[in-house]
Amino acid sequence: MTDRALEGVRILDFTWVVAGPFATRMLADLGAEVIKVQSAATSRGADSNGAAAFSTFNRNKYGIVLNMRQPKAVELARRLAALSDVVVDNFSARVMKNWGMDYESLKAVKPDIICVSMSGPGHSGPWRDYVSYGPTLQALSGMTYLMGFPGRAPQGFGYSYADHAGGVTGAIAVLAALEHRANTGEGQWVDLGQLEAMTALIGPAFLDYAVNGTVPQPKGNLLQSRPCGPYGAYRCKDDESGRLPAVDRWIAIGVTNDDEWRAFVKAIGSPAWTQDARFATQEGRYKHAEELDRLVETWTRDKEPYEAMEALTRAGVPAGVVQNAYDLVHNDPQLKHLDFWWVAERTNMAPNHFDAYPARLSETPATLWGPAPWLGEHNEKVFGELLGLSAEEIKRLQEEEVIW
Amino acid sequence: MPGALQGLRVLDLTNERGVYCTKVLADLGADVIRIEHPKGGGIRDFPPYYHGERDANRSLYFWHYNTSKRSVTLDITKPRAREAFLKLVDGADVLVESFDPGYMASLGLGYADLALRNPKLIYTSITPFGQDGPLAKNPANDIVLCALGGMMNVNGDPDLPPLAAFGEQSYHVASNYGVVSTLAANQYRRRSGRGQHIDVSTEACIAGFIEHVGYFYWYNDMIAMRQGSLHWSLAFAVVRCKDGYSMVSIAHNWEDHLAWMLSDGFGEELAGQPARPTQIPDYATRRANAQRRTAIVEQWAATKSVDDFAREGQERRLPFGKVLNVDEVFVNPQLRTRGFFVDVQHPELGETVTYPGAPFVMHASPYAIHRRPPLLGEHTHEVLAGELGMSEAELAQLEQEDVI
Repeated sequence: MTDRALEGVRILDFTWVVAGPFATRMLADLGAEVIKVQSAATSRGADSNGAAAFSTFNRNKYGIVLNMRQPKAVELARRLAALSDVVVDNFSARVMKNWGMDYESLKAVKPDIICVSMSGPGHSGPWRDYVSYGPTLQALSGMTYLMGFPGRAPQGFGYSYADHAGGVTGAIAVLAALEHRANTGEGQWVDLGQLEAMTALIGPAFLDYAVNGTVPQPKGNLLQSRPCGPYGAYRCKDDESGRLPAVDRWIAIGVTNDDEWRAFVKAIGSPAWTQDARFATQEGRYKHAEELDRLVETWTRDKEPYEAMEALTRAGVPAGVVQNAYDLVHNDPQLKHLDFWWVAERTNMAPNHFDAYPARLSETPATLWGPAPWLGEHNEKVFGELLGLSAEEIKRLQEEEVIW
Repeated sequence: MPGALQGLRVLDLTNERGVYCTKVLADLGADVIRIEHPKGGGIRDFPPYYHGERDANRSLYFWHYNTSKRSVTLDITKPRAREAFLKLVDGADVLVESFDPGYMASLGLGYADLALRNPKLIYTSITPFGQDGPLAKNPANDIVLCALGGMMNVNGDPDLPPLAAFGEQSYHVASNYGVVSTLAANQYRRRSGRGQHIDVSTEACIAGFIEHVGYFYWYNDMIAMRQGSLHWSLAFAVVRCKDGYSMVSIAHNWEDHLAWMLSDGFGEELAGQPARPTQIPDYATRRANAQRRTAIVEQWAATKSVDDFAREGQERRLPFGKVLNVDEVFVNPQLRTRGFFVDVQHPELGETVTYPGAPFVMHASPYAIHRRPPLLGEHTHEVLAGELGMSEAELAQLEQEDVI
């Protein structure tokens, strides 16, 4: 058993869906004791314990149930909070307050408690009651608008990047508050608006607007303000194996300076078009990107994607296959080297596979100690060992639909 | 009020791959000393520039990622710099670097070297693939990592190339993991007195930041592909209104949504259809269904102005959001009310510049831009003479040799 970085940190976890669970999963991977609170009343659909998403984002956590509509359940939750370092939620603004589980209320039972709320818009401001999911926040942050091709509708992400971004930011907020507590003894409330967590990730575009009045427009894969090229995704030889939902395969090439351009020209056999004066400089290649991309594709189009990647990277050109899930699991030697896919045995279910913690900590590596919990799986452990309730009391509270 | 990381001394040797990590640490209150080449270079050359003026102190890219830091010029490749650098290491808690694997070790400044001097040092390395493994030495940058990590395969339209995220997100993702890992390691150091090496793989970070891709494969044996703006859950898409685009939901509160459409004379063909036709087992069929529904929603949206449409959607508790560009985000009343954008004095320009600010609101130890980004070498004397006690003669000598 190695040391764990967050040994001794207890987190009472009221999160659901993706953003919140992703935040607390990271902390659990690093050794925090995360007690996830659910209720039979609300664990449905993607939030039911056997669901793929739930199984993925709630490994390494203990699971209890509390029917928070019952005053007795709130009382138990407050007793647990009194024994915890951190309480995390990602509800909209009113939920925790209505239960008496907000920072001001919990400070009374634990003066140095840390509460981190991870709502979409944040708990203040004119839009605090907005209904928002990842895609909503992506649209409001500016990111969706700037992800697309000129003259086409914005594409944005095909998934909820904002949930991951909000999640990792939430984990940072918890850890920063723990640092402050270690320095001063003081707990606090962190009001995290996932809209801000997202908006913070395209900083230079805002400075360019604030200082120069630049209003950017979508440019496909080209960098917004750093002229270079070829920089984009290029079509390779089709995959006719029938294994993939679509035949098209692509490689990303990112040439960002003249040395890399020269290496690129050499790697593809110096065809005549590479001598075109328009392509002699970074600015020229950027300005004539459409033409350049078409020509680059004349080289990539009949190459198998991994062969093209090998030829280019060996020459010193940044290049990588646009990998799909199958590639990530079976073809990528680096992810294999990192043991990137973890697997946990789980009762009444096939083994759960998921992405590992993506950084290696030499002294306190992230560990996998268990799969996601079944609904209320750790009721006895938590209410019994932690709160000292007897088996009979727990049973009675279950019958009363308090522990439920 | 001081920040949460008050008293944490960080040496910053990052390029674009890891510079967001040290920005977050600095804005959280750490004393971050950026070690730069005496001639500047690197991200100080990155556009966009203040009023288009290319200068080491006028890169807006540099500004954004280096708020709250101090700058010391020191050419660590020169033997003469070694003494000063090692003195800095002796007093540091954290070092963050994002050079290619092996580069720091080649200078005698790898983790093993520095840990001998300062066993409490947390040494965080952020690289494309991690420190070792079959791809560790491959040339790679943001677009290549978005491709290899599996992100591009699920962004973009099927009839267009796969799409990377806007704003070089792979660097932000890896940097955020760098922050989480570093702060977790700091908790361990508080208990044990020991530092450690943190090895962040950007590709692995991305591969675990793409929501559905892993679990679609593991749980449903499905390879997720790009499908335009239609979210993998088939619940969100971008639609065109009269004068702009809106993110809409086509599943949440569907009855209210449909009633609203019907009252405008649209969507009759959708009456009686369930919000999410889960009885169709096959994803491709469900997707075709969602695309038809989106097309009908779009016909209706085309009759409305986007501001009214998105606002009225929210009034009806539908998670709509206008697809905003940065100029609109810049004046968004929610962000403005919550103080997300902050004015920073640049006395050297006689100007105040508006920066994007905190990704979350900490009430006791604010995340803030504590000082404007440093001019090149602005704090060299302050740190080397004032804090390390080097003599003016020594500094003059180093300056003469282009070491500082």
